[in-house]
Amino acid sequence: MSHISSIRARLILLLVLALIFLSGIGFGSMAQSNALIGAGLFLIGIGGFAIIMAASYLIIKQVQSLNKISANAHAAELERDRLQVILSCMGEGLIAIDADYRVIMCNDRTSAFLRTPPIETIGKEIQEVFPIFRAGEPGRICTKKILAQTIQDINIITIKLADKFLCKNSIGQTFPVAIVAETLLKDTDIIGSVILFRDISEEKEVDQAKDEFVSLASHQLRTPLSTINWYTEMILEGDAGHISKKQKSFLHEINTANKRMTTLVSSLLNVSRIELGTFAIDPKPTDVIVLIREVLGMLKPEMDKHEIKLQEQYGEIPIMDVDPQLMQIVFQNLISNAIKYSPKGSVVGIEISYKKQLKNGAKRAQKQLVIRIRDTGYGIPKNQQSKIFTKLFRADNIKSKITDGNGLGLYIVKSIISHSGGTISFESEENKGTSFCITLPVSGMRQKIGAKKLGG
Amino acid sequence: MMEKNKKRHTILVIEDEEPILRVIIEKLSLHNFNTITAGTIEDALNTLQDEARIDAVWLDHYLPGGKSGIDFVRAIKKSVVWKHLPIFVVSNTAGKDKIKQYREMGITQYFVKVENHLGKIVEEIETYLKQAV
Repeated sequence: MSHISSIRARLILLLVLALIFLSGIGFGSMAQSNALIGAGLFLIGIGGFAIIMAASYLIIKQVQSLNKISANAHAAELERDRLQVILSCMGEGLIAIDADYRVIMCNDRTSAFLRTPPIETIGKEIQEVFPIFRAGEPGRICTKKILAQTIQDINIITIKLADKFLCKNSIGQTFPVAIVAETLLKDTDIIGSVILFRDISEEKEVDQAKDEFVSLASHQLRTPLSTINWYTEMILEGDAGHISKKQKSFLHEINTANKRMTTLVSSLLNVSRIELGTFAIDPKPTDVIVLIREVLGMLKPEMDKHEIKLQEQYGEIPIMDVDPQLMQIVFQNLISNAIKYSPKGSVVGIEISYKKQLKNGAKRAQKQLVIRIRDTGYGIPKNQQSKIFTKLFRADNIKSKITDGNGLGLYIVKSIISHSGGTISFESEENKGTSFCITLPVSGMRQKIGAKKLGG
Repeated sequence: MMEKNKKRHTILVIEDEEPILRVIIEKLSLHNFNTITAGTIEDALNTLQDEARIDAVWLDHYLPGGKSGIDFVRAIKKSVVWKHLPIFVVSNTAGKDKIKQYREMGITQYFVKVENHLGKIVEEIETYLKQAV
């Protein structure tokens, strides 16, 4: 402002001098008797006047631009103050790091979570300020390793409740943490990373409560079923004395119905877990062939009863990271369907292969596990195929033929496969047979924690 | 004539559901086991204090009294006398995390009630104890 007032003062001084000069010239030209000198003086006067006007114009322009700059500076200051307020009030912690993993800035919430004043974080290495580790591995701080994905390449990474990461703050408190980190770009250069995180203790509690609910429901529903099961078993085995043929056959009916009820309850509990989202995928190094052979072993009595001819074709399948319990559910469902929904003496074929497929737009070929389970059974009518994966759906052509089935199996299978990042599809023709095809990506599920490429 | 010295094993059955408890005892007796029962973790731990001769434990997960099967296993594993006691968890809870937790604590075997014949569970316990001796 002083700048401007001094310029104004200069402007006024200039105008006064100009007036004096003009008056001097004016009088001089009028007082001069010689006409030529008079004209000359007059022209000098005009020229001087023009120069003074030009100078005044420039000075006015300068004042205007200075005004504009100060107005811009003021607006920028207001904007910065507003951003500061937003950053301070944010419920999430925000940390920005440079390409050397050093903290550039962090907001107030960060210091609240980490119990470190923001000033003390600047310039420090990120893993000192924000140490994170996987549950069960408190000694292995992996902040830098995780963030490397956003510093070495353009990426967004997401860490959710299911990934089970914890953070330990400066006063030794540990809390479960959800994180989103994104590469910081200047034009096309990677200059660092922006990390957004929050304490998800409450979410973890809700998740545990849901899990406990399903567990308890499971217990309550299954207890009376176990009672019926075991007492019936005891009588059938003669532990309560001799039973007549008729009593035996009636008890078998009770047993069969009870087994159906048991399967239905198990399926409903699985559906419940899927719907509540307490469905965790726990990949372990698994021999898929061994797993499927175990399932086939369990289903052998059924296969023999239906006189099923089994055709197996397995390629070279390495040990891979899949959840064995979930894969067992998938295999058990699809194979038992193939057996159940086929007339006696039918063929059931199982093919497992391992392919490297270059998917559209991907930089690296994706390794895929491909599983095909086919039968020569009753098939699924074309007009019902769209509903086959929905809950409690059973196609009309088998509903009356085969009473043993609750319509939940394929819904559960599809959910498991989708959650694992795979796909499931099928081809079917009524009275000819059905063929299900599953593909599962075999990239290490642990290494990539929701890493997504920016911009495609 | 060789007289087989048939050793009768004693099983501590920790189960609160009356009808189920009765049928378990019945079956175990038919297979020549002695049985002691407890309806809560507290009772079970007290029983272990008093009875020296227990060869194995049949343990349910959900029990009244605030403590669950997991608390029992934890307590057993801390005791010098009982930490090698074979524990067979027989429960209707099939939550993956629970089973994992039990296995990590070192139980002998986990059976889901509805998925198993009573006779089969008893036979497996029998086989295990025969091998152990």
